[in-house]
Amino acid sequence: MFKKINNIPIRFKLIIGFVLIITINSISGIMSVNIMKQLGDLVNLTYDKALMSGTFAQAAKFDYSQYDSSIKGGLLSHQQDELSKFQARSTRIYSTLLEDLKVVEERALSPKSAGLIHEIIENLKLVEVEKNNAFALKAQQLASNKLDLSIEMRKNWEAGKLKNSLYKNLTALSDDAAEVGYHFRLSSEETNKKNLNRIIYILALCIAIGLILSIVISYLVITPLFKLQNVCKKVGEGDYETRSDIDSRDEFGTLAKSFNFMLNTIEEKDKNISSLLASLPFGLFYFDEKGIISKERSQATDIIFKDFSKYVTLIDFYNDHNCTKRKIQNVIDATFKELIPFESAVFLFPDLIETKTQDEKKFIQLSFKPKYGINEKLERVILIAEDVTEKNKALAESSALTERVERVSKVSYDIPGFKEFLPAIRSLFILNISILSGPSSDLGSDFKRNLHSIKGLLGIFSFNSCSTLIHELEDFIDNDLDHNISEILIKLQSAHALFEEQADDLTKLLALNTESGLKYYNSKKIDHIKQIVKKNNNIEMLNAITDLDKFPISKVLAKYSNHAATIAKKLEDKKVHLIFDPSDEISFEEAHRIDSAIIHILNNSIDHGIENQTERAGKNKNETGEIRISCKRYPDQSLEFKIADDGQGINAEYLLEKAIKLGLVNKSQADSISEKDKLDLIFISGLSSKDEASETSGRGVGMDAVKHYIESIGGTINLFTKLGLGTTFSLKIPATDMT
Amino acid sequence: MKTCLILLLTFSAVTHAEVFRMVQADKTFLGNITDKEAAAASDDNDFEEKHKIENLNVKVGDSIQFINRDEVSHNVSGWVNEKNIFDVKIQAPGATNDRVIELKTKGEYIIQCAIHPKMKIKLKVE
Repeated sequence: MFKKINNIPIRFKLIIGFVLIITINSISGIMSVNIMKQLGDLVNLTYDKALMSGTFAQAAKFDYSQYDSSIKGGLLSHQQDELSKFQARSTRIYSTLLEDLKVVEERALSPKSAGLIHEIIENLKLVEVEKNNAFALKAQQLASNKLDLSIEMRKNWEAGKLKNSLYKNLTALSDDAAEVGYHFRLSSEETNKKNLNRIIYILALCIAIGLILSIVISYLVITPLFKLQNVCKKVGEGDYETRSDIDSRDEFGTLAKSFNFMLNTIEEKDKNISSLLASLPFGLFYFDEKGIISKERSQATDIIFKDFSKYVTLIDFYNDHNCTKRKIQNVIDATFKELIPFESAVFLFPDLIETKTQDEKKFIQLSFKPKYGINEKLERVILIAEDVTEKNKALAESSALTERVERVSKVSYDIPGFKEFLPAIRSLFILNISILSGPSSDLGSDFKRNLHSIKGLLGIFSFNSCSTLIHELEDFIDNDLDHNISEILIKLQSAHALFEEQADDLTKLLALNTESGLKYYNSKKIDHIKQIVKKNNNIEMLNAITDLDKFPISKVLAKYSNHAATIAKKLEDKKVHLIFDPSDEISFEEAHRIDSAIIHILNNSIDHGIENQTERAGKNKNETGEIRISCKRYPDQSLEFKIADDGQGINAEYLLEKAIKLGLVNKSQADSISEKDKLDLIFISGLSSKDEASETSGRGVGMDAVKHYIESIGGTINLFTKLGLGTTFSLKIPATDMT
Repeated sequence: MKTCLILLLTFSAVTHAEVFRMVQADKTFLGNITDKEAAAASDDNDFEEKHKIENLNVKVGDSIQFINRDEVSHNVSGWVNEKNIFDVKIQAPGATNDRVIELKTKGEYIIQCAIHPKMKIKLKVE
């Protein structure tokens, strides 16, 4: 039922409602009119019947006494004309009396009155006849002059019984009229009261029905409006999934359907935008004239910037990336007030920012696009953020490649020049590094001049990246008034390392051995020659060719220089310099066999052997520790490597003590252990001469592994130490099978 | 015993409320007459004139018995300052329609018949 009503179009609902209200009002009006008509009738009736019958009954009574007196007057008259005058008068009054009685008769309100009137008229007619007889007799008497009979006639008239009952009846008639009139009044009073009450009831009913109808109409009209309003509110809050649930078939139902359709479109568009934003590979968001950053942004934005949602305004954003607050506000103002062209204005925004997370550093390139409103006023600025870290890296790599090609071509044109250039640069680097490492650590004019020379020289052979590093270092020195020496040293060393790397690259590439003029050969071809020589059984030749593989140890073991430096850098306050003593040449294969052993021994020497700089200074030793490596080849092709440091040596007693503590040696045996055996304890697993483990060594698994390995390839390892002067490891390695 | 009797008498004298007999006959208020006298009253003008009441004084608590011995109906009511105090309602002629009205409030009343306005007396209740 309710649903059916709901389906009626609103305009009909309204019309029906108003028609109903009007109908009810009309009915009440008609009822009121009826009541008024009744009231009017009552007034007429009261006037016509009660008042008229009462008045005319009284008038009749008065007429009768006039009639009576005129008859009496006639009977007493002395002359004929006097008699005829009274006669005429009485006749006239008689007719009036009849007329009056007729009025009362017509309006008789009670059967009693009707009966009375009837009796009165009948009697009156008899009295009239009696009168006429009396008057005729009187006329005869007047004619015969018998005047003495007059008094008697009158007396007779007075005594007439008929006449008396007539008078009584007339009185009764008027009394009855009065009483009936009074009753009439009472009943009309009651009717009035009832009608008044009826009108009040009708009015009250009308008001009540009108109110109910109004409420129903309002409910039918307003409820769907409220529903739509609620939906609007929810959509406004960003909930695009809300739909109106109005399903009636009236105008609101149609409106709700259109509304839902609109919401579908909006939701779809929102989803499209979201998916677009999600798929964008770069950060994208916008800000308005107040600098407030939009909630809409590409998902990439959140990947590029950590916790992007915490930025409310562009100022917050820049502030978090080390840009001053006030400046940004000014730029935003200038941009939106269009004080300067948009392109110039956005140029004032910092466009390359750095983000730092725990493990990486990213460079973000920002670009700005304007969005104009309808009146061509700048509405918002769209900001596109791109992670250019990789791009920069790739760019740097490609430029490094270009630089390398340029360098190679330059060097290949002037190899002699490069050979002179190399030691010159190196000496300058070492000179400056030694200035920084020196006790005074003063950046004198020499340092700066050297630096400048390095930069100048680097340019000759296109060591551009290295040259840039030096340039940056110069800037740093100029700006850094505190002269942070360690910082400068690190920068200089990294420039040096880069240079060495690039120089090494060039040397290898162009087969330049700057020290002995070595040349590279194809090992396969050498193998082939070896096979031929072997066939001819020419040992001398074979040896000579085999010798082709061999190079000075400074070349073969060069990589350990870097390794040593790296290890020393990790440890605080330590410096080590690796020196290759004049030795027999070895092949890379031979070096490779003992690679891990050498690394272990070097680690051990740098960590435990070489003292730190202050300690060394106290012992009158050079601050930079030295590790010397040499190699001797025996006729049976076995090799003996010696790795000697100038550190503090190994304390044999300390080792023994520690071994006893760890239960590796029986205390009772301790006295009988020779000095050499005590030192050999270092090769026992689980023993470290240092109390604390460092990153480099000290876990007690180093030297025993070395010993185990050397022995496994048929070699021996020995150590010689002098407290305070240093330790030498000696490794004897048997020859490899020549074939 | 004597005192008791006196007290009883005094008490009864104090508490005894009088009932005034008001007879309506020949469209006039006639005080304290018998039914027989009332029946003859309309023919005897002198008698009527003698018993006709125009002013009456009573005490609070007293009552008036309205007796219609007329040939017509009457409707007597009492008014103080045009405010209706009592209404005897319509009394048709006859002994069965007598009614007693107790006067509870002080004031100067006008007692009048609604059908015959000439029947009018001034009543003082003290």
